[in-house]
Amino acid sequence: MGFSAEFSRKMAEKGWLGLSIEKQYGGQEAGFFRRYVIVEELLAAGAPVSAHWIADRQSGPLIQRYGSEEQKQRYLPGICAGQSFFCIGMSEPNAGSDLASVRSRAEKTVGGWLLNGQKIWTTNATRSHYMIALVRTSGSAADRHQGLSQFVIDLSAPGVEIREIKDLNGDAHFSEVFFKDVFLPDDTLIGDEGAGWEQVTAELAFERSGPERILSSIVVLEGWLNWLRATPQSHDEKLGRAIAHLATLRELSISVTARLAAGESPIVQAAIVKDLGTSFEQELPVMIADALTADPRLQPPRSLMETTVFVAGAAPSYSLRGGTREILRGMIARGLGLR
Amino acid sequence: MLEESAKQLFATHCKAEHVRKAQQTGEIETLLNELVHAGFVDALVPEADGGAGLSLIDLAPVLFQAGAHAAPLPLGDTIVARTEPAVPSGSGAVAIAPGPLETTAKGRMLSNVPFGRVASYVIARSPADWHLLPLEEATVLASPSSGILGADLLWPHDAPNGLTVERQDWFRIGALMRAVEMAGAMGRLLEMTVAYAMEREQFGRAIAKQQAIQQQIGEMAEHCYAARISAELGLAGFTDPSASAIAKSRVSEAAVRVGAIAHAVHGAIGITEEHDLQLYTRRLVEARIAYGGESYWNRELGQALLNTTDSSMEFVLSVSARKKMPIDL
Ligand SMILES: Cc1cc2nc3c(=O)[nH]c(=O)nc-3n(C[C@H](O)[C@H](O)[C@H](O)COP(=O)(O)OP(=O)(O)OC[C@H]3O[C@@H](n4cnc5c(N)ncnc54)[C@H](O)[C@@H]3O)c2cc1C
Repeated sequence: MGFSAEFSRKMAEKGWLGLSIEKQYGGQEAGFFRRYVIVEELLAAGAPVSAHWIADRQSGPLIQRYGSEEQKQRYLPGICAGQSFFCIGMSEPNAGSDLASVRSRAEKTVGGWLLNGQKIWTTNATRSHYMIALVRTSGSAADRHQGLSQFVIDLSAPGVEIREIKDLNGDAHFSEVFFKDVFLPDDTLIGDEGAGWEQVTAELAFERSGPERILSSIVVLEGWLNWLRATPQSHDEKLGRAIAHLATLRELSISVTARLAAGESPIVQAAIVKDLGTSFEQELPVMIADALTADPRLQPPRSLMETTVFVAGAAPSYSLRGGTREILRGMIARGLGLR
Repeated sequence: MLEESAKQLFATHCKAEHVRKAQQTGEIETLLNELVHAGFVDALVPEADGGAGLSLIDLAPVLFQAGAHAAPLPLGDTIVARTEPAVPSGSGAVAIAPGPLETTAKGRMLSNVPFGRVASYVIARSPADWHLLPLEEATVLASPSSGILGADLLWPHDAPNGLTVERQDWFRIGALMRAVEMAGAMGRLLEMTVAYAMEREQFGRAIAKQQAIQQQIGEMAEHCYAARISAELGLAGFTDPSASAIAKSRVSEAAVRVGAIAHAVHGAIGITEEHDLQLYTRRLVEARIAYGGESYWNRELGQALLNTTDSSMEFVLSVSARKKMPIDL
């Protein structure tokens, strides 16, 4: 997913950001489905949507749902204008799947909180203005889901240090973020103190069910399809299987969007979409890489090979980011009453 | 509404004992009468002609319930057939022959007809058009390879040809209906498997507490959900061959994992004749390969896409355009 602040601002000018945000805060109030359709087109075209992605998908809706009136006025217009970019501060070195064990800690002080600790794997941290972070405000790690809260952290505040991490393809899209006595004014606490776990769970339903959980590898499929049309080969069956999966996943994703639009928090269904969707995204480059090399006498276009190799390299991350496969299946099992 | 009344009807008249009896004797009269009486069988027939004037997607809850109860008859096939003028009201169950009518030394023959043992009529290709053949004069020979209710049907050489029917895409309809049936059966298998995992104890606790079991059932639920939604896509896009292809391919693929996990979790008890699990898992095995398995429908889909100039996304959008967005844009 490419990053372009300019593209994001142009999207906003077109009225394509903040589609699910109320008009009084600069949004379009057009609903989740209009957003779905627009986002789907952008992803299918491989548009550089990364800059506004997180803010538009989850931070905005989160602030709209849990934020105070003043907070909505402060943050939402910038999000809708494509000028405020957000990142997600959940994971820490010792809190990956076990998110409730976060140790970053905000201590009450006069007029606000003092934050110390560290986040990691934070996508776009170096290029974002704000992070919504899950931190401990009371008790200890043993208290698990109690005592956690969410803050909007201004990443330009003193005491915030960000170090990029390179990924296996050589890109630096995620970072480590360190907090040393960072002052968080009282009115940057989002929602209720201690309600962080519930809020983060609701936020993850947005994160897990959208079209991006299906379409990460779509450029490879489209490229391959073009080549098959130009150079007929006998891969109809493999192509058809990809279509059967893609069509089904889209229906699943839309059905979760319908529940989100109805104000529900479809945690289990979102987990189902994400696990099935990322499995598909992971299978596509594997299958296509094999099909591209099935007949050594044929020369697939170089750019298609490059994209395929790139996506195949990145694909293992699809079932890690946003919650691992095992964690999602565990959530589904809980939803079924098994645990 | 429809779902509740269907659920009640099947719970009363399509219990496991009824299914077992039908499998032994080919007897389905009571269940069929109830379905007719409830208005399900003529649901697609226009109101002016005495039907309910519904569309197929409206009937999805009824068809899923039929699958969830392993109903021993081709309900969806019969419901569509009843819209054909050639099919008399009070026809009984109507099956679809996957292959053409062939002339053999013994007579005219249709092989491997799913539900051939319980049908009163069969719709078959002979040789170019589709015809409606009554089973009255036919010899019905069980053919387990087309399912426990499947049969080879044999007519004397001089038997009449039967009336022609209007629709020409019965093979695809057979495939779609099997997909819907399987999706219904998978829902039941998930319920049974969850219940069994919570009740069965090993190592001093319910096997549901084992993470390996939870992970498998989690995966099973994913496939069940996917199967259900792609079957709905097939019903919503009833006139679109690609929608049926998506449904049959995706549901068939899901059926393999769902059947395997259901059996894995049940252990040896699930392998017994006496346990009801097999009523559903055997249906999955049969329906998956009836009217073309995944490979066939995947190939059809791939070719359909290659014959357009659409991108993959455009093609998918065109198939699901027939389905209403859950909330209007
Ligand atoms: C590309 C990318 C971008 C990311 N962006 C962000 C971001 O912007 N913000 C953010 O906060 N985080 C981000 N993450 C982090 C991501 O959320 C974590 O990687 C994820 O939650 C898993 O944590 P972990 O990597 O520490 O793995 P671990 O939790 O250590 O898991 C390792 C393995 O153990 C398994 N495992 C762990 N616990 C259990 C259990 N109870 N039962 C069974 N198996 C278990 C896991 O499934 C996994 O297979 C990103 C990750 C990636 C790869």
